[in-house]
Amino acid sequence: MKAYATLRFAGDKLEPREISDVLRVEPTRAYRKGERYLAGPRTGELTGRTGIWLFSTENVVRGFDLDRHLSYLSNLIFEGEPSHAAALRRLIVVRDLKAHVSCFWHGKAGAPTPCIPAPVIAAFMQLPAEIETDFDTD
Amino acid sequence: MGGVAHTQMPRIIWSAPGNPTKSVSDALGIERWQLRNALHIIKEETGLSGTDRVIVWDDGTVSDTQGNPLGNVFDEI
Repeated sequence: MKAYATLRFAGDKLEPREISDVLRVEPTRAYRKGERYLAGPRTGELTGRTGIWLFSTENVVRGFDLDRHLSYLSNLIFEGEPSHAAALRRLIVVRDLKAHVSCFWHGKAGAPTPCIPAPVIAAFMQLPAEIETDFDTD
Repeated sequence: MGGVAHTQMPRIIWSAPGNPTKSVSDALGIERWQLRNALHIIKEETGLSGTDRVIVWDDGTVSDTQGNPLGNVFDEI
């Protein structure tokens, strides 16, 4: 079994440092449009087709309870006073960014598919961030 | 005497929409969840959505439908 969630911002005018400064975390991956980055030892360097800033809970939140992974991202965005969400909304508008939260889950054959609580969906939609699920079993 | 080096061109093992089948992960010698996870990461990191179609090659390369490399499954395991 495996589960985690990812928060991603994408856009041609994205400046990765601005997102990191608001959320006060280092991204799992970030690059500007046109920037060369090392995708991996086998892949080598690629050129960013658009700007990307993403943070994955895969190595941050323990366990396979998807709710805990989503809660971590929700706290990251909506904590603080004023919340980080207000600053993110400004960046989304100014930099013309798309925000997106994706959920990965792989379970054993016959395992029930996780259900994302409606308040969590509503919270992310306020950013606004699209929610995408990638659920499957053996 | 030096021999002639034969290099085989990678071949496509998955190009359909949706999640790859177990036969694809078997061809790469990995578990299906590992392949799904790698494809998820590669799509996330290159700005694609889950519904975007990608091509998986038998050396682990993942490319877009034009053949431009996006990543390699074995980099994500």
